[in-house]
Amino acid sequence: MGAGPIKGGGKRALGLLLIASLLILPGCWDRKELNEIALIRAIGIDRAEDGQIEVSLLQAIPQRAEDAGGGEKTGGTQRVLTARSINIPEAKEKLQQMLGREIFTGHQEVVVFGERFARAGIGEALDYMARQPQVRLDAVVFVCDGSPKEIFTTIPLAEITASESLYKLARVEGYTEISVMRVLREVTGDGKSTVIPVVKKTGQKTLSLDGLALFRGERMVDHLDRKSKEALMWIRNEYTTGTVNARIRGEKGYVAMKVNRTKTELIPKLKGKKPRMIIRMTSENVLSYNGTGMNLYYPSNMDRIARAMESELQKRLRNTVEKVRRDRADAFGFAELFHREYPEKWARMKKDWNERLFPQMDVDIEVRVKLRWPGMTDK
Amino acid sequence: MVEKGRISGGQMALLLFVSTLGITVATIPYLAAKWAKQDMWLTPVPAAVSGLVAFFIAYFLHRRFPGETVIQCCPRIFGWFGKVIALVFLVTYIHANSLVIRIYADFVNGVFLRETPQVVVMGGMVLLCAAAVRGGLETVARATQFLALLTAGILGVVTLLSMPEWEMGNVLPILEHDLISVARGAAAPASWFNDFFLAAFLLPFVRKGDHAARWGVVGVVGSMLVLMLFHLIILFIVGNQSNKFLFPLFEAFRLISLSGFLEHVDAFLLAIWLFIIFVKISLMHYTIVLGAAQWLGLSDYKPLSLPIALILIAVAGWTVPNLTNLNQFFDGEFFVYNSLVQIVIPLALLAVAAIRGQKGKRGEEGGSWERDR
Repeated sequence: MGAGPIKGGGKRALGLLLIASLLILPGCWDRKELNEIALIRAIGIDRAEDGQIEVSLLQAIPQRAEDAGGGEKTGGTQRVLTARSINIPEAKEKLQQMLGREIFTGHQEVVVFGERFARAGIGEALDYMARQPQVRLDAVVFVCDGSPKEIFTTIPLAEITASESLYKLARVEGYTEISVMRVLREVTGDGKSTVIPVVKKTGQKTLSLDGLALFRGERMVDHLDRKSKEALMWIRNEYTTGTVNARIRGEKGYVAMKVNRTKTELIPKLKGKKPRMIIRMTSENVLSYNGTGMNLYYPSNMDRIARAMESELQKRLRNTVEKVRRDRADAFGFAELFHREYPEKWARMKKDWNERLFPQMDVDIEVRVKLRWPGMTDK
Repeated sequence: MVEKGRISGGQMALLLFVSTLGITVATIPYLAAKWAKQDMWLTPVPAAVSGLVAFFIAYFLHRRFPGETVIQCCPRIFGWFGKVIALVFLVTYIHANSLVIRIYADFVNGVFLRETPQVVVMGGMVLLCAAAVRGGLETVARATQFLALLTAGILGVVTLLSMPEWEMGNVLPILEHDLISVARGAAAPASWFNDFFLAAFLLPFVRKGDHAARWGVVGVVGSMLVLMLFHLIILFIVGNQSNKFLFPLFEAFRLISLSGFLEHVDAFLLAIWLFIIFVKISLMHYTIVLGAAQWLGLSDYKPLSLPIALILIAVAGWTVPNLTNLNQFFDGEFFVYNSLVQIVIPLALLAVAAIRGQKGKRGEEGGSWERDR
């Protein structure tokens, strides 16, 4: 039979074949109808007092989301389920038994680790998430004070679900970059350390951010407050705003400025075997409050403020660097810079980087503040 | 001659280019990163050298025996023993194609269609390829041309979209480890670059005066450059996890998100990859079907397309137990085996033919190659 035009019987056979192919082409085995799946928006993983793994899932209920504008129907747009077991898949299996629908994690955008779990090590959760093809690795990650279940059941007034609220919190602070993938990369990277934002319940209907959890390897080792968090993110060159208060020598009261933009240069140096890091930070700022009564008509006064801010920022960076060094967790990414700058020496350095070299190295901090704008008044 | 159709030099290059890319973007970057770490983007270079060697062996065989595929010139050189060597080629290609089908099925089954039986996933694709091959070489080439435009467009857009996620510092430090590790990492891609030897089955049907050699080089270098680009994208986005994730390009595309309103572009990747792998399987299937017809001395190869497709599905089903074994096999062993068949044996054929001064029928009167240059 050649490849010529198809005639008569051949045509009919082809038609039958086309119809028959409809049986397999729509992919009936893997169809997913919206009313047969449980749409999971967030997963919480914690370690219970008895050492078991506690998994909480936040299920969004889409059809009710539309008429929830009033904000009164709390709990009507989401459901939180919790189960305990020896590991994550087993606990999830228990949760599956409670749901009439198949768990669908394709839209899971938030991952919350309980602090107890984080301190014991998040390796198990990372492995689980990296292994599942349906789990998205760009989900934002949090560590929570207390249990994830509490966080999930707290729906802030303006929001429909807790996951929505968590995602928005992350976006405001520039935390959306801190994804499962980034955590995976950093805990196995040169510095073997990372940071994850901390969230806690601060009221009946309020969730709030509370600095960063510092990880050495897969274990949480410390909690950095808001000021340290800002400093750490400035050093890492990750955009964050922030407000800095300072006193001026010889004046009463405070001045405050809003940090608009920062740029940090990190220069690794190696003298013999001793590493040294130069942190050179430049920030552009706007004066937001002047409680001292200084007249800003005079440029010299602007200068005095800028210098005071410089020493204030320097102090903050110094404190943060020392704190993180005491924890022996290089979350600044210094290790990577040394690796890139001195590849042939790195092989010998990497062994005791976090244990010895990073905590003992010299760190020089230079800060330059550019006060761009006094505000609308010169008072 | 069994094949009536003719293709252009550009079509040949495109077929080889697309099919080489198709398979090397699957689990190969993961294997390359295992050895070469952040230098993985350099591995296509040694691999391309291997591809170039394979292509030119095919080209010189073609010049010596114009109008004949390697299946036909084997018996001409070695007599009855040549017939056995030709069978080695056929069996190797059946095996290699079944591995391609298996990677495809493992990816689609593992990631997208978890509950669909594997035989349905394989069957759908292989039967489609069988139909294309039944249409002849021109059909396969035309289909490739048409779909390549579409694919290049989508791929270009996805690459642009991925740019905000790029962390270019991930390639540093360059060449931290020695070149040996780069060469070792190149073993996996090189075994697929060796498939440029498939040109031995295409060159006889390239229109005369079409600069086949030049097009072949374009094909090899093009595959190398695009593969380097893909490896860089993987490195920029996935970073030090490239050697942990089995399908790193997929992982990279999955992380693309355009400020929250454009996400899940990985579905596009599947669409593109389906096409690319279609070309790869079709080309190898065509080689097997044509070679089998010539080996058996049939006057037409088309009736063989469907039966051989069924054999391929069966072989793909039992060839390896799982993806781990498949990767283990690709990471080195396959290169040795593949080079033996696609470089060493053809080189021996070429050497014996040259020593004995054998030439094809039209070799003396100036076949296609005369006007090739």
